[in-house]
Amino acid sequence: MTALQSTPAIRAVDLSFAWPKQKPLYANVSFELYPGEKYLITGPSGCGKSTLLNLLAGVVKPSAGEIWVLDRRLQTLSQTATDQLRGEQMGFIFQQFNLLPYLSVRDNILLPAHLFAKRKAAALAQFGSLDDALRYYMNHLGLSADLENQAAHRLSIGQQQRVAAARAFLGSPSIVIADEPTSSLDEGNQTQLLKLFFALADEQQTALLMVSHDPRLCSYFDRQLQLAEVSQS
Amino acid sequence: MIWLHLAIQSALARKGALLIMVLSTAISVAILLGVLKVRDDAKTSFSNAISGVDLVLGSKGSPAELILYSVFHLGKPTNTIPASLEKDITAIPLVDWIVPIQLGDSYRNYPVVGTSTAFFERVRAQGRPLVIQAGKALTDPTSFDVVLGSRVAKSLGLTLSNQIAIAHGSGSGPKKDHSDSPFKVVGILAATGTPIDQALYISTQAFDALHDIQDGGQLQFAKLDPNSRVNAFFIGLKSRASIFSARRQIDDLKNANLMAVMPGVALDDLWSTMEVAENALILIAYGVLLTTILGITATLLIALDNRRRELAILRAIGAKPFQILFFILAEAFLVCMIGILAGWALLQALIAMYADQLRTEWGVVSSFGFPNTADLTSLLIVLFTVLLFATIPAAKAYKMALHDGLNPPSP
Repeated sequence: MTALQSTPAIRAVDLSFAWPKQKPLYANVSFELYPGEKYLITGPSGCGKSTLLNLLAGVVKPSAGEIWVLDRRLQTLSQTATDQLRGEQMGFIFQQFNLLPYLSVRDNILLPAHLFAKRKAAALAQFGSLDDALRYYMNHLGLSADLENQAAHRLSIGQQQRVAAARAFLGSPSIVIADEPTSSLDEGNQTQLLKLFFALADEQQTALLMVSHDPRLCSYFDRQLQLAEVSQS
Repeated sequence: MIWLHLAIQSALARKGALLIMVLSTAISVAILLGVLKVRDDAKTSFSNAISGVDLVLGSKGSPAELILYSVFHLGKPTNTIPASLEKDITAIPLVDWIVPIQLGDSYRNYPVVGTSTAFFERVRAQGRPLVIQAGKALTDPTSFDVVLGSRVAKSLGLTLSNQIAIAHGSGSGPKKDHSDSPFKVVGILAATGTPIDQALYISTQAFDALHDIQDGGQLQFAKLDPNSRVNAFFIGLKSRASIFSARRQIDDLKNANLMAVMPGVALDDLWSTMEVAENALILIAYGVLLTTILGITATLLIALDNRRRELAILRAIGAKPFQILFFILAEAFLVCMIGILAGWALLQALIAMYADQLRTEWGVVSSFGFPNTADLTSLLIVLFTVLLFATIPAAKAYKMALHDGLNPPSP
């Protein structure tokens, strides 16, 4: 397990949430995610795992409780500041349809660097140039160099997930949030991709928060949260 | 710039649908600019139906009526003035030239104009000198020669050396054929797109001689009436700046029944009577354009459902709501701008293809030209309206992005 540090990357305190005119999805959920830590949130379909990610990303507001990201309380930030924080400090990987299909692999991976100076500066500091950063992530995630200019929509699902991971980790964000990123892959590829994610997270000291309905993945992670149990509590 | 790049790439990925939007915008813009251009050009062409003429002199009455019958050969030219005035007016030092216009006869419903040989040298149509397409202009005033306007020659199938009999009277009223005095076609004018194309030209002497034989006598120029009368004079001045002085001097002539009209002013007055039709045309053009703008808005709205994933990805990467707004608006802006440029190019191509036909068949002189201030104002209104309407799908995209969060429904 990664050594826990004093300042969490994400801290959820007594978090409650309900969609308008619906039963609460959660009540009093609390957890902390530290830099370099791998954290798994599990639970059956419909228990609100993806909604929790929206809350942590600052896209949806909680009904009650607090969310702190890198020592900044999300509820006190403006929408623009929240978007800025998300763009600079978080990377996202979804289950599928991660990429802008009309862009090349290169453009998809480098998108955060083009949108946020901080991500670009971090990539340049780490690799010297965006080209080198691109090559590093592609190589690390098992994407051959000849795919660089390939349109994203021509890639296989597995390749798309790797490109999404490269984009999420580019520029060393503090947190990478992955929403069932391996569920559309076979078991062999799932394990292989997870190992690549972990290696990158370790290298960059990035906190990895992953959501999955598959309890078999628990053993790969430092800690986990069973969302359904919380919801029922 | 990255957002513009994204907007362009995204648009290119949906080029089929957007191409239809661009085409429909282009056609609407071409119609709008076309209507505006035809309106301007038609007005200019109308004002230039007769050019090079500084004053039209006729019997006192309505200036519009004088222009209608002397220039457009419309209406019944009942008022006449003495032909002998030509000498008095020529004596005015400011006057450069004078051409008589005598009306009242027709050939197969086309008006016959009695005039002098100077008509062909002095009068201009649409700012250009008259061109003899075949044969020659009138040269001998004491001959029964006739020169045809292009439309007359074309529609009646007349060629050089044809003999024609001119009828007394005009329009659909009763006519008396001068069948014993056949005129010989000696020349055919090139098309001008003006009323000049729709008339026949003979000398005033021949015109008078025709009427002298109405009682069945032998046609001869020797018996011309010294008290001959004409319907109007076209007058050219040595300097346009002296137009008001010349009018004063003409007014000072002893014949109190005279009226000197500036054709440009009278033609502008006549044109203003067509304002209703002109406005109706513009209204239709803007109607077409509004339909297109609504079409663009509808297409953008329909496309939004297919773009929810795209917008969610952009939000996840950190796109701010106003950037999503810009993203949608940029596409509308691009479609509209390309549509406007394509519409302008389409119009210019159509003008290049049909300029001659427009001039000769419709009397509208049109040529390649960059949009004028009025056109640019209209195009800016179009652009602004498109952007205004595009805020509807843009606002919906913004709302959807917030509502969908990072996980919109799968496509």
